[in-house]
Amino acid sequence: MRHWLARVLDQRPLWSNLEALSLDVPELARTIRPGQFVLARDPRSFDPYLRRVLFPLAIHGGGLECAIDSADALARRVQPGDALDLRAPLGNALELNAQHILLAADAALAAPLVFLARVAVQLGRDVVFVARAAADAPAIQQSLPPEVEYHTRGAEEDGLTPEWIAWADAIFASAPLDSYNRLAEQISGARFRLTRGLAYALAHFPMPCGSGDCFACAVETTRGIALTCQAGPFFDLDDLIKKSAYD
Amino acid sequence: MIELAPNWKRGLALKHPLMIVAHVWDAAPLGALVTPPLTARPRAGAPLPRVIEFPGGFLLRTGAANPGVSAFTEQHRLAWRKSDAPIIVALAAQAAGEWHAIAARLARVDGVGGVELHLNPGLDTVKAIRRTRAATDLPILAKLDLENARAIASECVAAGANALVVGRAPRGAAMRAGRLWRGRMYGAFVTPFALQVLSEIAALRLDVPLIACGGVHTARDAREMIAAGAVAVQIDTAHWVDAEGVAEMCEELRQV
Repeated sequence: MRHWLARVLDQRPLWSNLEALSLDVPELARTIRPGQFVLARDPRSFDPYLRRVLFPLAIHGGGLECAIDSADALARRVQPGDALDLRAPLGNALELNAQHILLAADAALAAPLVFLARVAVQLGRDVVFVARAAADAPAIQQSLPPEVEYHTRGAEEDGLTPEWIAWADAIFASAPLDSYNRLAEQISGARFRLTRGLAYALAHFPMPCGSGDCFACAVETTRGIALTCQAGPFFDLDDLIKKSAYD
Repeated sequence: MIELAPNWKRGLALKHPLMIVAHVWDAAPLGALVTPPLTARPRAGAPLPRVIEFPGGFLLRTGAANPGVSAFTEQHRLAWRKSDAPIIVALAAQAAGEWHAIAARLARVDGVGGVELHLNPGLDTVKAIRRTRAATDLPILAKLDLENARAIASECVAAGANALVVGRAPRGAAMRAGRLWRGRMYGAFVTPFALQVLSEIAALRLDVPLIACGGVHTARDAREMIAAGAVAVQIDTAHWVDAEGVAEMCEELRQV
């Protein structure tokens, strides 16, 4: 992890309540990996006070495109040409060794998996992306490489079918924490049981410090209390499902 | 040198007036590292939301989430052994009897120079400090809530605290989705409150070192705290948002 000063190149709307911030930070763009994130703040001000968690969405040339909630105070404040103070890369990079990669996301939380899909396709993996996103389906699909097989599910439907789960060598999910028990049930139903190393889930917690000092991202796992910013942000689904912060 | 436990058999000397609440810090010289507050057993923490922002600051309600003092110590003991600055282990508790056994164990951990007791209202402060005092010769820093520091400062010293930290972030509340959420408030706006309380505690002339904590974001903030009676200053959230600024502050205050 190190500090970077990046210039905002562009802002554009994505889907749901998200927009993309394109940042001029070529060295970071070359080094950041799927699963990792950036903490960003406006160096001119303590308002907004806390750093924002930005997940990479895409790399364009030397630019790093990240997703941010368009209603967020930082998103409303910055404009192209402004500088952002970044701490990155943070979090643990994901291994994309599996050939058949299944990605499952709620629309508003889909950005981290879009980046993962892009890198996986570059590595020659077969990728299926399932989004619970009726209204946002076209916009999400436009952000994905054409090689990705894309499906949408309604908000009331289970995210994944048994066929997709049976096909996958690796599953990555980005959804509210309280939905992961159901995901684990689906996987167990389709594959007899949930084995470690098969499915990974992104724990969406605030990460104000990114250094393991504030404990705001503490999550109870089957292996004890873990800090999402240090041990995550993706966890083996088997570690997350027994207990959640929503209990 | 700044001595936080004068007249005590085991001293706690700082080479620098800044103490940083963090488990690791290698950006600049500093006086001491203070751990985040730890409890005897692991705690999963509060339900979401744990962080609620408002202009210029935020409300934090972690529910004292932490991996437990044993796991945390085990994870960091090698780094503590090598640390140039002393490690002060911060302890939170719900009952007066939770600290003494932990403190006794920590006294045998290389690098640990003291314990900092976070005194929640409702805790039997005198009993908690006395039991800890009896269990360890580690210097004891009592961290007081800013709201009631004036009321309990004297009894903490009488019970055996070697130094007072003034203080813990003030409590606040925020309404979200029709529900009131309570937590502690952080941000630069805390500085005037912390400075006021510090000056009042200093006026009591309790004959123990005072450590300022609350909203310090600049070298000027730190100097004002020292001018008001503190011998050292703790930095908590400032390094989350501006670690480089805090590193510069460390350099600036090297000569204080």
